[in-house]
Amino acid sequence: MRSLDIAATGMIAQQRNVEVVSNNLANMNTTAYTRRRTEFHDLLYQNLRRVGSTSSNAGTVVPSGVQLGLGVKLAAVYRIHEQGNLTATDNTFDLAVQGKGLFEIQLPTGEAAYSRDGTFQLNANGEIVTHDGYALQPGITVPDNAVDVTVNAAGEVLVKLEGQVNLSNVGQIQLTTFPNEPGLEAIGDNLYLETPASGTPTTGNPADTDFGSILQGFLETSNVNAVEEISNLISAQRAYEMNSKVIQTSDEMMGTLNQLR
Amino acid sequence: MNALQIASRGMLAQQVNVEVVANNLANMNTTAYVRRSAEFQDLVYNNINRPDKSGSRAGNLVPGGIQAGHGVRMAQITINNEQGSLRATGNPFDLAVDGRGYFEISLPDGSPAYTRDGSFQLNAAGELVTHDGYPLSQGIVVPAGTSDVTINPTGEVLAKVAGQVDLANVGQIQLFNFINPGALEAQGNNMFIATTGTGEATPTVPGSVGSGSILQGYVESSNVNPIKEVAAMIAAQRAYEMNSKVVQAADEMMAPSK
Repeated sequence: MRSLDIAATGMIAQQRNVEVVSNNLANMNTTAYTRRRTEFHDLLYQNLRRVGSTSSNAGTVVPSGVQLGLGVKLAAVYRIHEQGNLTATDNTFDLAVQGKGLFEIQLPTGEAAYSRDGTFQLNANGEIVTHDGYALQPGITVPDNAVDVTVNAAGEVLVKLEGQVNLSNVGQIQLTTFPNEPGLEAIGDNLYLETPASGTPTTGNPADTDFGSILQGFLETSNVNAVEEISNLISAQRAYEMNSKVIQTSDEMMGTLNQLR
Repeated sequence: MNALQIASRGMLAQQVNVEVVANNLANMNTTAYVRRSAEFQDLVYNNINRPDKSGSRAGNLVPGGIQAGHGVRMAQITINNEQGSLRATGNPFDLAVDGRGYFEISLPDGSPAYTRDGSFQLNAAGELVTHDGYPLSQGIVVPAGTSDVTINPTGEVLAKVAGQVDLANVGQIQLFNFINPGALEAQGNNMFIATTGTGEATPTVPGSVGSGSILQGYVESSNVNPIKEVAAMIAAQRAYEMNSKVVQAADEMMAPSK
C-alpha cells in the first residue's frame, strides 16, 4: 500500500510549509527579516510501464505509460530579498539601507557576518555596535565629546564636536553586496554568513552605484506579507487534512483486506 | 475459481488508483506539478463460445457468444497538462509559463531535462539555476553589479547594470515544445526527460505563435483539483471494497460444504 507512504510524505511536506509560514509570521516585526518560501518537488517515479516503450513489433509507441509517483519532497526554503518598507524611528543610530547592500559585522570569533538590520548603538568605547555588541566593520568610533551625529546617504559619519563649527568626519560606513544573496547562510540574530553559493563579497561605499544608500533614523521592516502568509497557511492546512484522508482511506482499505479472512 | 483472481486484480488496480490520488494530493503545493489519472484496460478474454461461431448447419451465427473476462490491468497513468493557476511571489527569478512550453535545464551529465517549474535562483557565478543548482541550458548569467533584473514575456533577460542608463540584454530564455508532452518521462524534482514518444524538443521564443509567454514574479501552482481527487479516492475505495466482497464470496463458495 504505497498510498500510505505517499500521503505521509504529503503530510510532512505540508507540516514544513506551515512551519515556514509560522516563522515568517513570527518575524513579521523583525527588522530587515526577509520572508522565506517553501518550494516542493515531486519525488521519484516507478516505471510500471515505461513511457516511449514500443507496444508492438510494428513500432507503435506507448504514449504515456505507467509512471507511478511516490510523493513529494521539500526542495528548498529560499529567502526573497525584496526591499522591506522603511519606518521612521528618529533614532540617531538606526540606519536603513535602500538598495542591495548589507552591513558587515564582526563576530566575536573575528569572522565576518552580514546584516541588513541597522539598529546600531554605541558601546562604552563609543564604537558603533549591534544589539549584541558586535562591532560594525570597518570600525567607527564616535568621540565622547560629540554633541550630535549625522550619517549621510553616502555613509559618512559626521559628528558635531563641542566648541567646533564644522562637522568632523569620523568614519565611513561601507556596504557589501553578493552575487546571490539568497545563498547566504542565516545564523539567526539577523545575521548572515558567506557561503560558496552566495559568491564572494564586494565592499564599497554607499555612494557608489549598486550598493544602495543609507537612511539615518529609519529601519527596514520585514518584507513579510501577512495576506500571502495567511492564504499559504490555509492552503497548507487543507492540503495536510486531505493527505490525512488518504492515510485514513489506505487504513480502511487494509481493514477491508483484513476482514477477508 | 477465476473469480478469486479476477477480484484480486481488481483490488490491485484500485490500490494503484488510490496511490495515484495520494501522489496528486501529496503534490498539491508542488510548483508546476501536473495531476495524473490512472487509466485501466480490460484483460484478455476466454472464448468459451466464440461470437462468430455458427450455431446451426444453416449457418446461423451466434449473436454474442460467451467471452469470459479475466479482470483488469493498468493501461497508463495519464498526465493532465492543464495550465495551473499562477501565484504571485514577488521574487524576480520566479518565472511562470503562461501557455505551452518547458524550460530546458542542463543536468550535471550535460543531457537536457525539461520543467515548468520556473522558480530559479542565482548561483555564486550569477547564473540562473534551479533549486538543485542545475543551470538553464541557455546559460543566462546576470552580470555583477546588477541592481535589478527584468524578464519580459518574450523571455528577454534585461539587467539594470550599475552606472548604465539603458537596460542590458543579457540573454534570451527559450521555451521547448513537444508534439506529445504526455510521453515525457518524469524524473522527480519537477523535471522531465524526452522519450521516443514525445518527438523532438522544438525551441521557441516565448510569446511566439504556439508557445506560452513568461511571467516574472509568478510561479505556476499544481493543477491538482482536490474535489476531483477526493471523489476519485472515494470511488476507488468503494470499488476496492466491492472487489473484496467478490473475493469473500469466492472464498465462501470454495469452503467445504457442512
